[in-house]
Amino acid sequence: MAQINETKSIEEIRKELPCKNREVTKTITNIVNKVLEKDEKPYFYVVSDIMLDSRYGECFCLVTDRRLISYDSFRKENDGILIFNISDIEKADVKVMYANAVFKITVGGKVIELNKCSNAVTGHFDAIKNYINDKNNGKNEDEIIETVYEAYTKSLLYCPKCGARLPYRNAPCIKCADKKKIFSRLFMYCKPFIFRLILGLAGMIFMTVVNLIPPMLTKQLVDSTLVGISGLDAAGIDARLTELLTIVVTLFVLNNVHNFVGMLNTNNLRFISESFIKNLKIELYAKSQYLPIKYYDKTSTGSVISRINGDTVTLNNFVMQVTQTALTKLVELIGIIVVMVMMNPVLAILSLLPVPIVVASSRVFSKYIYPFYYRIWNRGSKINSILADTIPGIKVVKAFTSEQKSINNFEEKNQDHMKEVLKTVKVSSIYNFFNAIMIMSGTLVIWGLGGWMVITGKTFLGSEVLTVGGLVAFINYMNLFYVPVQFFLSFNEVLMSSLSAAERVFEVLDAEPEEDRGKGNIPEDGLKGKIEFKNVSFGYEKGKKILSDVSFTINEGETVGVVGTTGSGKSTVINLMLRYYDNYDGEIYIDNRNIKDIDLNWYRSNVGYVLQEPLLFKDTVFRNIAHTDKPVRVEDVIYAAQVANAHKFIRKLPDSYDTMLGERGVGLSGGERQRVSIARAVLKDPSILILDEATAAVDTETEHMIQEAIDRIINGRTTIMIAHRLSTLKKADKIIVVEDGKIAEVGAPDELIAAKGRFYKLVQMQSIGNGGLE
Amino acid sequence: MSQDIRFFSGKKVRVEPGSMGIYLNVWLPDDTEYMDVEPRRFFPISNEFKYISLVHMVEDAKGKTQEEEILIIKDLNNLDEDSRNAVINSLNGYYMIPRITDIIEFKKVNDDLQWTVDSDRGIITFDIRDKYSSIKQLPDGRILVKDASDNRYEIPDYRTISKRSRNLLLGYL
Repeated sequence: MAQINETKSIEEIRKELPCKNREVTKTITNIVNKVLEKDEKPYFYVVSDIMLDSRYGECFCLVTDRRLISYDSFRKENDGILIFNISDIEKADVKVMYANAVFKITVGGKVIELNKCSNAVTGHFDAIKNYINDKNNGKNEDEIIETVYEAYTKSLLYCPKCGARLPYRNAPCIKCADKKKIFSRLFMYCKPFIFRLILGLAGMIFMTVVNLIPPMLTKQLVDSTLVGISGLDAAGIDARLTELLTIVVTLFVLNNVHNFVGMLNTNNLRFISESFIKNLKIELYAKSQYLPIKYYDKTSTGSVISRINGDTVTLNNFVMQVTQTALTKLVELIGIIVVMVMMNPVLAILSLLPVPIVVASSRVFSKYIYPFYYRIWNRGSKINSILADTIPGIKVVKAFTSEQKSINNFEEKNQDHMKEVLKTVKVSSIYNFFNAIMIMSGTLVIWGLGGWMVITGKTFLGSEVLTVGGLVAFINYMNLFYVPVQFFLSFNEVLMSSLSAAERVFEVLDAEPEEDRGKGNIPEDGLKGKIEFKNVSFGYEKGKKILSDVSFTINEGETVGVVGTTGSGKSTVINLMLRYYDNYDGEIYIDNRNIKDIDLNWYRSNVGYVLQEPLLFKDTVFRNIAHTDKPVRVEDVIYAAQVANAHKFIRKLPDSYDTMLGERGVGLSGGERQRVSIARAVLKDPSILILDEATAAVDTETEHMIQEAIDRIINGRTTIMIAHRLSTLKKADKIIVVEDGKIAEVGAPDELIAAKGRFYKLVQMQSIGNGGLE
Repeated sequence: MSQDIRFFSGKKVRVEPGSMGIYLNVWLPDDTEYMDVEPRRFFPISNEFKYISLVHMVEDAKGKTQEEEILIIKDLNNLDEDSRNAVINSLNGYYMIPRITDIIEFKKVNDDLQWTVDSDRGIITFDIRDKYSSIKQLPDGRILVKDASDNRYEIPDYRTISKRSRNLLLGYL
């Protein structure tokens, strides 16, 4: 599997070396074997795709424990091979161009272009570039191997095992996946419904068997009941009528029994199907709630949503098809073949003759038609994109009077969509026509040969004498036979798409949840609010530090402003305080206890967080404020709203606290939304309150109202305020200035201004725009 | 937390009808009196008899009339019967939410859905513009309806309306 979900130790990583971005061909292996020294260890292969003359061809680069080996067949000298000691390389670089890049090194002051590559491989060259430069800069080899390894696993587009292209970077390889394991795990979700499944299967088999009986009765009708009437006396006629009635009643009963069992089965299967999908969705959603923030750094929220909503449906269809349809179709197929062979083996073989052609043509057709369906999907998604842009963005459309342009665009995309659908319909109908000819010619052969056998009373290749009823029944079976055949022809497609859906779903289910080693450790004396960072260093990606050796102390009940320019690391400090990330160096202490040793849920429940962009939910104003698991008193919600300067405007809404908000709080102004989110934080009555640019996105009057609310709530709790507008930090006890991931200054605002350092400069800069600290 | 808002359970609060039908006169347990105040619901949908805010109109510095909250009665059921009736009558005057007792007709007029209903306030015909956002079913069986002019209606329990009305309604839930 290509995917790396867990953090591996350096020993494990070293065992996995050499890393390959894609399959290493025999040619490459031969070249490497030829030049590799006896105890030399290959570390990283970059199999490239573009040669130095910008044509596609075989070329590669290999980093070993001591050397860099490059091969490009366009290079005339040394059979295309260039080898350098890593220690001789002054600088490695990747020059990114338009849809391609060149990997080059500087040796002895001379720049040498080693390999070219497309965008698919640029990331890997980047990784080995860093390896070479870092190694020569004296960095620890284990650390740089870890970094490159991570870069490799992140940017894999091809399975290193089989060379197949992955659906997305670092996706699991479907071809290499242990299919049995995936399917057996999938079917574990059916376990609670095993009795119902068996019942459903029994019902399906019963219906299949019932389906096989009517042609037999037709045969009886045609061969015996309805023939030779003229010579019969009254008693004989009565007997025939009784026989006819019996057959008609039997057909009626069979038909109704079939439909009745079908009705029960549909209800049963629907129950299983809905339960299966409900359980899987709930499990996925629950898991998504407990995934750490770092998971969402790597995986888009949209893709998690599509796994919960889309992939579960695909899996449900698959499970239902396998447990019910596939098995019954198999029974049906075998049953029909057995009956046909029993009726007339020779005709049975003849009727099966078109099957290989139908199977082969279907394979060809499905490969051919796939791009057509993709194009339909693609055109459909373009229509959806226009809708997603222009309907929510209707204000912009109107402001720029681009209504007609939007309409024209929409019309054009719909026209494209229709064209593609019609093309596909055309191709499908040609295939169906061809298929019908094949099936019909098989049927006609049977009609012709069977008819000849009936008329002449002769046999063919030793088969039995055929009656009219026998022929009609045989043709009926033959028509039934093609239904399961068609089903299995399309099943492979379902299988492949389900396999990839299962991989995506299990990837979420198997992801590591947030670590909480302090679970259950709830300090008896509650949370006081003293925060201490001791030599904390952290980066979201290995090798790229955002915070370096950060140390500061915030005392209980202090109001502290964290300031700095954009990208200085202010929000990262907050992310660590909220324990969104635990993989930092150094220690963070809360009330003199290591933050990692405190119960995570309890800790977070004592921290209030107000963001710049308040996140409100599609719910009532009341429930948006009372967004907690704990029961809350209505009075407290109203108090909280009042403290946050929200009560007054809520009271004036027609439905007051019952006012239903739209998604993301639609229905309220930005300032109102912010005040509701402050009320939410107030209701929590946190010991630590974090305000992340709470007034950044509002007008001056609203800012004043919010600031008034903030002034009211900061009393008696530790408050950390991130602010661009330094005027909002007038009442801070302490200011922490963050610069380039380091603490540049700490002190009381007056002290820092008097010291005329970084903070003073920031204030000076903002004073020009009247936002400074007066 | 701030205690600026005054909550009263309702006990020992006396309320009498004030002028013009919707105004109230209120006496608190400490004999403080407020003349011509108006009641407002904090939860007009989810809990219409609890958390009733009493407001009166004051003029701000610019001469603009503003609502000022005096107190909040937590539960109308704690009031004596006369006081309760006075508040409910006043609320009924302020909040116009007819209770639909029967659906007489559903008709599609252009793109709107025209309802003709019998309610506790009489027969009324109104238009619904967007059935997806204008008809809302609550877990307790109530159905809230908002018409094209933003008027509100309520079906207290759709299970208790006539079968015919229910069948007409079911297609839109």
